Amino acid sequence: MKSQASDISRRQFLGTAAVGVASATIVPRKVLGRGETPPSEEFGGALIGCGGRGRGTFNSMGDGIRLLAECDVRFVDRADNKKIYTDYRRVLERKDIDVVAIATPPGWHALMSVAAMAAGKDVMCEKPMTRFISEGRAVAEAEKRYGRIFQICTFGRFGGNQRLRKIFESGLLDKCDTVRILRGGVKVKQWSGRVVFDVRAVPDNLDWEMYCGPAPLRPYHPHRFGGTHRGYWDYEGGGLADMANHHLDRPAYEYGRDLTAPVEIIPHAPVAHPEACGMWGWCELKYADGFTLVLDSGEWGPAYDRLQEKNTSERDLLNMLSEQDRQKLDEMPDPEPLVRFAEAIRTRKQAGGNAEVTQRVATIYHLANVAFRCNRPLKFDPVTERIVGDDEADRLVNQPMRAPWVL
Amino acid sequence: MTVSQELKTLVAQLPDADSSGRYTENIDRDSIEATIAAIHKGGGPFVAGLVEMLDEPGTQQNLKPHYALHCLANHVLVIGDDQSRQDLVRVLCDKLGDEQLATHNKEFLCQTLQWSGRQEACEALGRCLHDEGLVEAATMALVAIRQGATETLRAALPDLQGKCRMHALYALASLADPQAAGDLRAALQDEDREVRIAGGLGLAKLAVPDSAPALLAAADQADGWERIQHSHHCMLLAESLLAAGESAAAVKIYQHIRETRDDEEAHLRDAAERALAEIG
Repeated sequence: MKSQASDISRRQFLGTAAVGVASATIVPRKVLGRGETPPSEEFGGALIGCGGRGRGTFNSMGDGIRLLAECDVRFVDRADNKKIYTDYRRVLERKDIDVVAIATPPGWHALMSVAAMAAGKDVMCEKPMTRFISEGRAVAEAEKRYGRIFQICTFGRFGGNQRLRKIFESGLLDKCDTVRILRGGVKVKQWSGRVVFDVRAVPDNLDWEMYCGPAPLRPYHPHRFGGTHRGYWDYEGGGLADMANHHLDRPAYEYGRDLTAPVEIIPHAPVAHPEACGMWGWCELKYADGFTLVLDSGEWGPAYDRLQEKNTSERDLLNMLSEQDRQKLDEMPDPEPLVRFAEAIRTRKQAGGNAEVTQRVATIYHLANVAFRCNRPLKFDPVTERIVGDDEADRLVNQPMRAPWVL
Repeated sequence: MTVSQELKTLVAQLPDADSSGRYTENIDRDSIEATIAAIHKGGGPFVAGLVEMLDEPGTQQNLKPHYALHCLANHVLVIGDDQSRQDLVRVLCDKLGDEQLATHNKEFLCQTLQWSGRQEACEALGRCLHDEGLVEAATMALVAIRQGATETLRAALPDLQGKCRMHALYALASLADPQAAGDLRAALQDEDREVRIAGGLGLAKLAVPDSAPALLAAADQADGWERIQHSHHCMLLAESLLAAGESAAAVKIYQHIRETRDDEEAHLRDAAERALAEIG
């Protein structure tokens, strides 16, 4: 209990300390440090995790970023530790790299993001930001502590309905009985892991120990690598962890869920395999204010029918307000426009998909996955970010890592 | 011990993998739960039987007993039957001492204890800390269990070398064990970089003001990755001290960072400056 209380105090401290960072406008670090590069021209960039989404993640950082280093555990046979690396730690040591794109399997995302920001780099991180909930808190704290820019490589909230967000932010809703149901699109079967497999020799060009990183060092088989890694709890969390950030980023923004988390989680799924992600049906996630989110995979079991979607649209919600409150709403300022990564690294304004809000998006699907794995309903405290009254389930909120990879 | 025919019959009822080797088709939740409940009724002998049925990772022979054992470890949590949970854990702990059981299967038992074991599992896991093949799984289980883990790790530490010692120190650091402060401070001077970093991490989490000079010195003297990590741990220590009400000690850390970091570490200097401004 003591450590949880300490964490909260530290978070409160970081929360207030970071205000100045978010609002200040300064020129890039490079400029201040060595005076080599005029503002807004060119940043030194690195890509960590060069397969799959790697190039796309790097390119999503925008123009004016020069690729100085590429790092991947498959580069054992070609690493020169000048431009090509297998060990990201050596990349982060470089002073000429200002921004880092991270596109490894997600088991590495939090460790790399925190280390990169501790090294003074800004970060564009492929989704999901984390593999489990407490990692996200560490990333958000690092973002604030070091005044770095973090952006998740999912941009749904940038197209969000600002009027809808304004209604939720206004505090004018007496109660919230909104039920939002998200159906399908989570690739549950596609990103299921193998429960039967042939153990193989590790390819010569692959640093398997580094690939596994904070996860247990398992016997190598190809399905654990190269995209299909998504099917293993060690590295990701199935189709839900892969896809849900796309589906939830916008609703989390619109429905004002950026600073809180569900308090009750009810899953419907078969008992999960200990290592391989598998099938699930649906999950209800209820917030303290009554807002309910339902994830319905449509891929296992009967279709979800416990609740009906309601009060989700701008019109529905406006109708819940009195005429007087609607007038008050009109007089309130609109939400601040969200800042893109390219602008954020130049102006030092916090990016729209920063680590704090992404932590809350990720918490939704991580909680669903914890409930599926534990096969039981859960209660969650959005302040401490711990599961309440179930110590064993809570172990999945803050999972041990294999040394020396510890946050 | 011979595995009973009844247990074999029950295990056989669990799902087969589909043609791609996955659990994606014909996954009947009610049938699985009924089978696991029936295995649960078999008590300790059935738990021991499942362990004996384990095989090489990934094989068809391993699939069902492996899944069954995990489901059983979860089942006792779902039904909230702590006596059953303790009985299961006791058998798994006994099996960890079975010299005939393969290391990969013992790793799975450690993983299962990580799922549903509590303090009663620490002693058996502690015996695994001396085994390079098991130390990773054992330390992860101990860190998850928490209660009783630090005593186990500290007791084992003097006899551990190399990889085993490194893993135990990281576990103690993760658990922020106050009684390991001396070991963690000593680790800062170790010849192994990863051990030195473990020492810094642990001291950062412990929030002991006396740790600050040693950690700051380590950060000042280090290069590259180690400097990044030690500096990060200095910042964490300052935050931990603030949270513990030791603001004067935290201020000293921030002042040191602010005054010793040049333009190449301007982010640290700026972070310290912001923190000092916030403290006021």
